[in-house]
Amino acid sequence: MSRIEHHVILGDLEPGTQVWITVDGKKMPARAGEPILSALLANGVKVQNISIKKHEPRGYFCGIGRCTNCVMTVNGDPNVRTCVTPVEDGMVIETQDGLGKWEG
Amino acid sequence: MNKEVEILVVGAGPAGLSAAIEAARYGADVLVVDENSKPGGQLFKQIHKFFGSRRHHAGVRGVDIGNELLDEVEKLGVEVMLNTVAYGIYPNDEGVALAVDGETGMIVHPQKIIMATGASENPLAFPGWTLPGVVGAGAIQTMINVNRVPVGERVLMIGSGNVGLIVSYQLLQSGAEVAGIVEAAPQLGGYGVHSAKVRRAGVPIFTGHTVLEAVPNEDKSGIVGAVIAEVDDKFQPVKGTEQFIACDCIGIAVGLTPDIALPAMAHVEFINAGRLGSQVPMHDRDMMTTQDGIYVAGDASGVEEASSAIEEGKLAGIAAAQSLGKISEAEAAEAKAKVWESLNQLRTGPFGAGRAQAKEQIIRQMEDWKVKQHA
Amino acid sequence: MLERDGFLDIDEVKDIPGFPGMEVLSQKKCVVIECAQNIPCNPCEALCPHHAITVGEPITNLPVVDKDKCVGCGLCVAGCPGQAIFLVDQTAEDFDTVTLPYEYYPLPEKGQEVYGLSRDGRFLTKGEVIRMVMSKVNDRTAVVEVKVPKGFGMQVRGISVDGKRIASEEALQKPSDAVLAEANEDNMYVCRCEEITKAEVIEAVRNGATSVNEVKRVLRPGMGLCQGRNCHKTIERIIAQELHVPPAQVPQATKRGPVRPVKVTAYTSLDVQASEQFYEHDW
Repeated sequence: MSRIEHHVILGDLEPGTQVWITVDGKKMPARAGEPILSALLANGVKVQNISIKKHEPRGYFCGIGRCTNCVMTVNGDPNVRTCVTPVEDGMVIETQDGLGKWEG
Repeated sequence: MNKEVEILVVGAGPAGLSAAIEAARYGADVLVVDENSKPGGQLFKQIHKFFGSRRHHAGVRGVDIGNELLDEVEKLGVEVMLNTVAYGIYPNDEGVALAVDGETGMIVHPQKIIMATGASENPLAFPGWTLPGVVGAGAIQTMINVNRVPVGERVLMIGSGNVGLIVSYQLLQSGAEVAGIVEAAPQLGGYGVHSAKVRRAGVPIFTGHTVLEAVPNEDKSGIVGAVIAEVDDKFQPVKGTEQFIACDCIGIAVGLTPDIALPAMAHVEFINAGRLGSQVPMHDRDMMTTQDGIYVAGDASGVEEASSAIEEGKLAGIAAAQSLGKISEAEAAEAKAKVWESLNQLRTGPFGAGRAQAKEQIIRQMEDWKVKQHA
Repeated sequence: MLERDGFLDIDEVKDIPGFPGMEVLSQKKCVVIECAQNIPCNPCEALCPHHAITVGEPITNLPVVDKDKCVGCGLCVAGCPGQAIFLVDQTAEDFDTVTLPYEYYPLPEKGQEVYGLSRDGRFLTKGEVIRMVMSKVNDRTAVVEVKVPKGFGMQVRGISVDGKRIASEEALQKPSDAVLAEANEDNMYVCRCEEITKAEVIEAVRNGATSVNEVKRVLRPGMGLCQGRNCHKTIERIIAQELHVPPAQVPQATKRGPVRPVKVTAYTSLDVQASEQFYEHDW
């Protein structure tokens, strides 16, 4: 787990409410209310999806919901922009393969 | 569910919020919508002290300016709908379609629309730019300053405009290392005081250099470095000057493009504004576009910085309130003149004069367009 | 050179109106303002209670220091958004002091030994923190006074508490031939969603495509998730280069809704009935 704990301008990181998410089958802690992407980076997960044709790993680019490079499959819904979607306790997140598949 | 409102403001960043504040202050019924879960746009990642005169909040950190605007919005009782995307002008060009939480549709019928939709970061294509770890400088700022997670241990920044320089400084403040700043031009793009701050913190600056490639790790799940090289006077890389720089993140800070999809759907006329970010909606001194009652403000009307966005938002807010008959022409003229005085001041000096010229050009073309429409 | 190297060398500093002169610095502790570009900014002027700093009109003037009025209080040091203001004291016989702004974690403590750094971040000398001010009015910018050996007062402009943020002395590495061989622009992706390379776009243009829309119809860039946000600018530039026209002349791609990815329910749940009413608007 790595976070920016200390900062002269922002002050010490306030203790948040911990929630748990499952990423590709692995349980990980997250801070309630933060974007999924932020929780992933804190847990060292850098790949969000696998490209459509060449099947290469891809990650976020803009971080503010405009470029769609960070999409993952969240609770069965593919193409969820993880940089602007807040985590929820018990969320199931999967590295998306290509355009993903709708489940259920 | 449908909704009627006097003024709809799209975007709760510095321009949108200040537009809403001005219009609401004059008694207009204002609704602000924003796609994000928090208002403030990109202000809350600006943790540095702003430049300008004391009137433009100089010396105040962006994040605190954001809080001031939010307090004001709350005091005035302006309705702000968050997690709400204004995704189109539907149906029959009559309303603005909103998606609440990305899935529930709603049509707003405003009498005036102020589009403060901001801008998107420009990507820069080079071999390896699609690898995880090659990210926008604004994304870095969001991660380290808002979400407080590191983007990497050692970051190479591409682009030496104020964004590239400021984000490099903020990376250092977050505890990361900055491997260098690469700039293709022979001179820096941003303020010397910003570059001096990172130089005295040991960051090398490679002017006259370009990035040739991002070097992937073994399974291409990230990067191990970048290759940069000197460029000649035609910006072509010079063979033999290549250098490898180890880094696990590359930040791209090569400018922004106005987010004009919504104005385009409203059929406003565009103009090429060159340095302000290619196509922008043509607008007059009141920030009104070629569509009567549709205004633009902030980066969507040409990329500048937060202080000018705030001033432009004010102009649009005053003008919209005036056209609704909320204030007299004389009162509006006086208020707008004050804002213009501020704007003119912000657009001076070697860095601001070009922006002033580009804005003048937009306004002049708009005047020509108006004349043609009457003819 | 500031514009090329990102920092002022000492001779350049001596030429700007914010520099009070070497003689003054040996007589009293005085402000040195290393502000050399005409940017619209003037907080320093109002911050000085003794009116020792003048910017005036226009606001882009460089700040001028009145050496007689400056009392060396340092109120301006934290307030300069560009962190370009320092205090220098060269009055002592065996040491100088430099007062500088500092915004890194951890903050130095009084009495602590720190690395003194040059304007380009090189390690020059060790120094000792003799004053550390973190007052409310300074708004989270610490003002640190460092005692440095004689002669370093006009040299030291940065400090490091922990050995981090110091310019590296290591030479840069040459990339291997294998790494260099990968730096081939033709194979690079222009469109990340549909994975279209530069070579493919060039081919489309040579086959007659003259606008982003035309390239899109041939190759599909802009038809993936990002809807052209990541690729259209690059494609414009490639077309411009191939057709030898300015990028501004390349026709832009059509912009359509939805402007962000939304679920289809955002459309299907719209109450379109209402649009048959007449709504008053201006456009």
